[in-house]
Amino acid sequence: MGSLAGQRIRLLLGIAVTLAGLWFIYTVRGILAPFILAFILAYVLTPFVDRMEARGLKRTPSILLIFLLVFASLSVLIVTAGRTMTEEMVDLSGEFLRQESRDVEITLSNVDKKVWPLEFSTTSHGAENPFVLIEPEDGQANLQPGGEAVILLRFAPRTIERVSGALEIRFGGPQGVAFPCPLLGNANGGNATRLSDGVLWGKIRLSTSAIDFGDAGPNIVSQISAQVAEFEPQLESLIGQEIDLAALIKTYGSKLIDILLGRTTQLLSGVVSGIMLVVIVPFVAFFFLKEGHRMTHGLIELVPNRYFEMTLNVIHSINNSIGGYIRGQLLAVTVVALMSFSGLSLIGMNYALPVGVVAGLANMIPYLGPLIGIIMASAVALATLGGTTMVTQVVILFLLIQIIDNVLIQPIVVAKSVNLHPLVVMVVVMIGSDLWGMVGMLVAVPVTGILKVSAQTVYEGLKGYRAS
Amino acid sequence: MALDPFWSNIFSRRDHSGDGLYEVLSKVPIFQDLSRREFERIRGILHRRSFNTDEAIVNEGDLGVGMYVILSGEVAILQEGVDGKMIELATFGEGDFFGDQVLLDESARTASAIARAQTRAVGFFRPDLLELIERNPRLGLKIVMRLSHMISVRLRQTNRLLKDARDQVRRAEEATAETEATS
Repeated sequence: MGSLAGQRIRLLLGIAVTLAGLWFIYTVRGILAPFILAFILAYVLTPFVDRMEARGLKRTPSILLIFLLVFASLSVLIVTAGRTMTEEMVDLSGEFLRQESRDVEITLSNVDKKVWPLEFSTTSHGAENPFVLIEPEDGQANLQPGGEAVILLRFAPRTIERVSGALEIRFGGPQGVAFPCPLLGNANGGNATRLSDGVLWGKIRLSTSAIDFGDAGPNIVSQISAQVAEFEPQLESLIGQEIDLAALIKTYGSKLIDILLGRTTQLLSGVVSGIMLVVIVPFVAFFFLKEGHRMTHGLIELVPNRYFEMTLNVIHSINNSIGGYIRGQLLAVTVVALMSFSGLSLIGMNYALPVGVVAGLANMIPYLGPLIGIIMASAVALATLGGTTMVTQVVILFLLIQIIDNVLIQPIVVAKSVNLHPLVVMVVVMIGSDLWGMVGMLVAVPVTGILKVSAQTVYEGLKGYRAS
Repeated sequence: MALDPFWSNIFSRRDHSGDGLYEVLSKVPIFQDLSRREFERIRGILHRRSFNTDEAIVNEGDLGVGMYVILSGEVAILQEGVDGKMIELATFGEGDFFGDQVLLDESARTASAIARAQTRAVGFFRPDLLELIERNPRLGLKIVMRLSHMISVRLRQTNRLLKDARDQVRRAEEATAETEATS
C-alpha cells in the first residue's frame, strides 16, 4: 500500500512538473522562436555535417564550411529573389490592408460681422467623383458672426488612381461666387495648389487650405466580394434562396485579415527582432550541431540504470524520426513552392513569388494547406483582375500540384507518415494563429508533427519493454 | 560519477587518456584493432555505468540495445529455465563482455545479467555504433568487421556442435534401426 501511495505522489509530482514546464514555455514563448528555429536548422544540417566529417574533416570546420555554403546560397537567393519578394509582399499586404475610404473634417469660421449663407459641393477631374460631402447633409450652412460650421468629407474611390478635385464653397446661390478648396487623393503627398492663407473673401477662415486624403481604394477583400456579387443572382436562382455572399465575404474576410496580419506583425515586432534572429539562430544552431551528441550523452548519463537502455533507444529513435520529418517537410515545401511559383508565372499571374512561397509553406498543413493555397491564389487572381479564366487556371494548376505532391513527393520524402487527425490540425492551427498569427499557423503543424513522431516513438519503444 | 556530465564546461577538453579505459577495452575483441588515437575518437560514445550488488544490468526478454564490458566487479549471467527457475550460465569479471550480438540486430535479450558485487561497466550501444558509421565510416567498419568476425567464429562453433548433434542423432537412429531389424 505504501508503494501505491508513493506511486501516486510521484505521478502527481510528474504532472505538476509537466504543468510548470508548459507554463514556463508559455511564459517565455516570445524568446523561444530563435531556439526552435536553431533546433530545426541543426536537424536539417546534421547529415551534411556528418558527411563532411566522414570525408575526414574535423567537426568544427565541417560545420563552419556548411554554414558558409548555406549563408552564401541564402545571400545569393536574397540578392536575386529577395528584393522582388519583399516588394511584392509589401504591395500584396497593401492590397489586403488598404483603407477603403478616408474622412477629413474642415472647420469654417466666420470672422466677419455678417451672417454668411454658404453652399458646399465637390467636383473632381474624371468620370466618377470619389469625394463625397457627408456633412452638412443638405450642403448648406448659415454662418453667424463668430460662428463655426464643420464639413465632413469622405474620399471613397473605386479605383486606385490619383485624383484631384475641389470642395466648392459658394456664396450667393448657384450663380454666386465660388471658391475651390483643392482636394487630392492617392497622391502620396503630392502638392496641391494651396489657397494663399485659407481665408475666403477675407470673411471666412478655413482650418486647412488644401486637403490630401492619402491612399484609399478598394482592397482585395472588397474586390473579391464585388466580383462574387456578380454571380449572386445565378447562385440564388440555383439554390432558390436569397443569400448575400458578397457581404459575408466582406465582413469575415476583413476580420480574418486583421487577425492574421495583425498577430504576425505583433510577433515580428516582439522581443526578438529580425537582426537578433539572424545572429542568435546560427549561433545556437552551431552549438546544437557541435555539442548535440555530448548534450544527449550527458543527459542519458543521468538516467537510472533501470531505464537507461530504454531511454537511449527512444532518444535515438526520436532523433531519427524528427530529423527525417523536418528534412522531408523542408524538401516538400521547397518543391511545392517552386512548382506553384513556376506554374503561376506561366499563367501570368502577378505576385507569383509570394503566393508560391506561401502556398508551399501552407502545404505543410494537411487538408487545410492545399485549400489555403487555392483560395489565396484565386483571391489574388480575382483581385488582380484576372477574372474567372485565371481562377480556373489556378485551380487546375493547384490540383495538378496536389496530385504530383501526393503521388510523387510525399511517399518519397515523408518516410514515416505523420497522419494528424483533421480535428487536431484544426485545433492546433487555431492555437497557433492565436499565439503567433500567420507564422504560428505555419509552425503549429510541424511542431505537432514532431511531438506526434516523438510520442509514437516513445510508445513503440516502451512496448518492447512492457513484457518485463 | 559521470565521465562527461551534462553540466561540465563544454568548452574544456579534459584528457581522459590516463583512466585505464583503453587498457581494458583494447583486450576486448571488438576494439582490439583500434589504435590509441582511434580509441580516443570513440571514447565519447561509450557510456560508463555503475551497478550495485544484485542490481540487474540487463533483463532477459527486454529489447537489447548494446554490449557491456566489465571494468571491475562481478556479473552473473542467468537464464530462466523451463520450470521458471533461474539457471546461472556464467560468471564474468574484469575485461569480460556480453551482449555484443544485439549490436547487429535489435532483438530481445536471451539472458539476464545481474551484478554480484559493486560493478563498473562500459556500455557500447547500437544507435551510437550506427552514428559512428555515419560520421567515421573507416572506424565504424573496423568495429563492424571485428564484430562479424566474432559472430562468424561463434557460428562456426555452433555449426560444429550442430554437426556433432546430427551425427549423434544419425548414429542413434541407425542403432534403433538395427535393433528393430534383428528383433
